[in-house]
Amino acid sequence: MAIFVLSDALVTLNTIVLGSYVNNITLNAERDSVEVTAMGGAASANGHIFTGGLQNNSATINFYNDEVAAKTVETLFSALGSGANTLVMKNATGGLTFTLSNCFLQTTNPINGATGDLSQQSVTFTGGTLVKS
Amino acid sequence: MASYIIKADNSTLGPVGSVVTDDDLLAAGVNIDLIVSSKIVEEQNTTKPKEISKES
Repeated sequence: MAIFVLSDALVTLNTIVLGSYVNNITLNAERDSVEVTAMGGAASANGHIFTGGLQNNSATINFYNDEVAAKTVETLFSALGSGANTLVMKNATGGLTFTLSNCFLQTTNPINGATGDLSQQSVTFTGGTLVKS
Repeated sequence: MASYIIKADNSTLGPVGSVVTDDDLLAAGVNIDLIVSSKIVEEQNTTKPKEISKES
């Protein structure tokens, strides 16, 4: 796959297709760094040594608000406070699939903005297990 | 095996009104309790109605 302009990212939350309500998305795939530096090792003489620990993933998505059933506001409100959310993301149709399972949604903003603004909200899902397929 | 009817019109599980099973939901990688409480699917009642005995 060649380089590409991001214009058709796909997002589903708990099987609900929400890509057409998204204008910004960042998936942060991260592992904890766990120090394993030991005394006397040749490698540690030059600095700290780390190994990968637990996954520490997050996904931040900006959604346009829509209060119709099974659209953004209802779906996010149902996901609020649950650590069992399933978020599926792609850069584009046919691209790699990134599935973040058992992620937690701490905050949603069903009412957000100033006079004249487009109603939208940025939410962050944290934790969970990320699988690329 | 429980079955569920799809209530949301934009679910990857299928069109509204179609029926999926536990296995379908597990294959989709979703938490069943969460999508039931979110009203994305609704569990179908598969229990038989209680028979009423006739009194003589």
